[in-house]
Amino acid sequence: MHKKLNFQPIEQETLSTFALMFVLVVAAILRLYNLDTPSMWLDEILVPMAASHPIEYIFDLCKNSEVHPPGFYLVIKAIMVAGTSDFALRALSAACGIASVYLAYVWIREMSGPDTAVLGAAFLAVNPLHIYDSRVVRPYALFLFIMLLGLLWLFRFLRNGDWRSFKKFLFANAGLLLLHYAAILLAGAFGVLLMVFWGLRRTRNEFKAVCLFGATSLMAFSLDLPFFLGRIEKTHKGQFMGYDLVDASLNTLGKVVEVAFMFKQWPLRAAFVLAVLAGGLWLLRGGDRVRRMVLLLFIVPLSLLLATKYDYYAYNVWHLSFLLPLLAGIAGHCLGFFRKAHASVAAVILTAGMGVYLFTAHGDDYFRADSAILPYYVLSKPLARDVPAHLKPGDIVAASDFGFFNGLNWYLNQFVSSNPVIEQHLDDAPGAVPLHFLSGAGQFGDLAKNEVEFLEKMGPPQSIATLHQSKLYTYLIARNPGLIMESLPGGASVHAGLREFYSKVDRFEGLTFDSNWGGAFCPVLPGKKAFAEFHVDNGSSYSPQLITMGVRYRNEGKGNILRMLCRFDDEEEWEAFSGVGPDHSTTDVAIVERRRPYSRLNIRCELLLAPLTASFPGGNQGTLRLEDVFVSAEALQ
Amino acid sequence: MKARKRFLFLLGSGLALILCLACTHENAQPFGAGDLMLTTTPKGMNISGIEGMEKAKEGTWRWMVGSHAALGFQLDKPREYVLRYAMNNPLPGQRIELVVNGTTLAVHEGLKPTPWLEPTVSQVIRFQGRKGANDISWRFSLQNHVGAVFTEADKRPLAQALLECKIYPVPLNP
Repeated sequence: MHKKLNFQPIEQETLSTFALMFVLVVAAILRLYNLDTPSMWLDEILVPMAASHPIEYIFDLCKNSEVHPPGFYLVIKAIMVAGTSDFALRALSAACGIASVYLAYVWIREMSGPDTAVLGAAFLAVNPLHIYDSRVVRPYALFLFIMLLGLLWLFRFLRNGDWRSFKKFLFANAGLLLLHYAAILLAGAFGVLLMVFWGLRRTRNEFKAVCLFGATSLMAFSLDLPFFLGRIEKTHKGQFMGYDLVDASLNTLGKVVEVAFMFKQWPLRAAFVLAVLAGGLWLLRGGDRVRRMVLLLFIVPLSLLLATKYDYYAYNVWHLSFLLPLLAGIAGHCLGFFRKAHASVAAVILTAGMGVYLFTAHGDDYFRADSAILPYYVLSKPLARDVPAHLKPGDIVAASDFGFFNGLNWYLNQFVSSNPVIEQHLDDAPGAVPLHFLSGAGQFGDLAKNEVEFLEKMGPPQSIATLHQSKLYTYLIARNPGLIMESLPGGASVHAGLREFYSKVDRFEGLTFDSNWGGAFCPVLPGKKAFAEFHVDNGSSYSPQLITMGVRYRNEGKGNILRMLCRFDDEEEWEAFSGVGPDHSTTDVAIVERRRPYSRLNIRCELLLAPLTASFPGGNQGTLRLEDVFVSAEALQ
Repeated sequence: MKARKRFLFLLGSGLALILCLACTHENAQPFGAGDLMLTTTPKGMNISGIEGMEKAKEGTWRWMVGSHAALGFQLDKPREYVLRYAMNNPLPGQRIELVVNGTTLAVHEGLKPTPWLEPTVSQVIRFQGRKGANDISWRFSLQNHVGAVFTEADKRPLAQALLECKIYPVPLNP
């Protein structure tokens, strides 16, 4: 059967070339059209936000919070030298996506001829998941591109024993291992395939290939090992073996169907699955030994997932993206049973039909400003366009969480010359000050579970503006700076609550509110000057006094600095204490014997955020938190 | 061959040492000042023989347990410090010896019990802190169930109720 497929009259060769051109053009349009229009969604924007930090931060992130190795972050860090626009950041994925369609053609052509190849390429070109992968700042498109290169070189080796190709394949496999942990499954499949070939042929060459593959895979993976072990230890323990076998298997198999066709149009989903099944059946019956290896590469990683009962709450279809080239390779053979099938014509029809369908029926999923694969995250880009109109210079802004805050700032920094959300400051002028609280998608952090609870706590706002998935609550905070210590023994304190801090602080700069763990104020950016000043009036005329002044805080970030400076009346300022993170203490104090009378104690807390310790939401503000400032005094005998 | 083996041994040992240091390295926080009635463990301080804070409407205290209680901290340069402490004694005949960096600075002998949470001992002492490790310890002659009993119900070897303990450098105030 496959001999007929390999027989290509000149006219048919021309037809397949034309079909390939058409497929590539449609693939390019689907991947490039309005590439910079949609807002980056949470998973995407975390990449450039993390990559804008030093490499030490990226390594720390991948060891402690992120589920991927650092490879793609380093790639994006390099790209960011050239530009940080959405187009610049997504261009690599788009280019890899288009090139992958061509590579799929080349790989399948070497197995089964150009007609089958162009149909396989068409399946990849119009695959909704591959289009998504090609339009986001995630590692999947690059991964698939390298994987296809690897497949091409591996199959050349299997067919011709070409060692140069095998060495290139080893490099591709190493690249995959550095890019995404799914490569472990794939490496398992490659390993099984090579061992099967060794078993079938029993030559020294195949044995050498197995050994070389094992050694280079281990070498490449050893670079990822600290990150991989860190993740397994901290969050991924439960992802394996912790679920019911049937539930986990059905979930994974359902996702495999989604890989074939991601959207919930069941006739189309069924058609694509049927194409894969037909192609698979043909490969089983009509394919030669090498071609059947495509099926092995598909089955081994899937079996590993099922055997380990892999599942978890954020298990998404794109995590199985690595199946895409294999599905395309299998589906490309779906017309093998039809003697006079013109796969090239079918490829053109498939590409044109699906191209039009995706543009019209699913344009909202790919090409609009609010397109997003998961709709429940705040899209920062449209928000950043609208927020500045609601703020006046000098207004203070707080957000419900730092992921949302950082995403908004990412785009605000591109859209406005002076970002009002980062330029947070307040002087000691009397009167009231507008406070804008931005809630992302109904979230209020630890402040409140919902809007009702938030409004109960904060009282009725001056105004509420709905901005896309967010709401902007505006309050007028009455300023009442300073504290009074009435008598001895006595004390006074300020908690970093939303209203209390803005009301009681004398002056501050570069700080913003964090609702977590009962509330705190954190530096808005690493390296940016941040301070808060308070004063305590001495209501007692007694002296001498033993005065304790201090802060409750968290300083979990390497190189973060928290310092307290004090000054009695107009005397010289002195450093009460300072600390460099990481610091396991949560309270620091200075104790002084004040023998002369004084009327006012001035306190200045300085915070400097270092960009070294990672925190998941695209920054690390939460690693340095000022929670309370307190003073107490007693009479000295 | 012997020299090569020795070189490899030294290289291996050096790498192992670096690895151990890297694993155990922790950012030791310098000690500035501390109030044991404000935080369980003040920043930069090690505490032994002093239990957590207990509160009642009459006040706050921390039990000092065992034959001695100690505070340890590191200083990056020599500095004079003030130690203020107050204790409530529940055990008749108690003897307390304060030892700072190996030198006895105060002895409280023949102590009688005073009403609950009223200071039996109240002391302010200046001492010279030294560069590196510093150690303040109180040694007790009696503890509950060891030489005397003041409460049957509590089986801990309670020695004193700490009511105040502040350590701070002088002169901090300009």
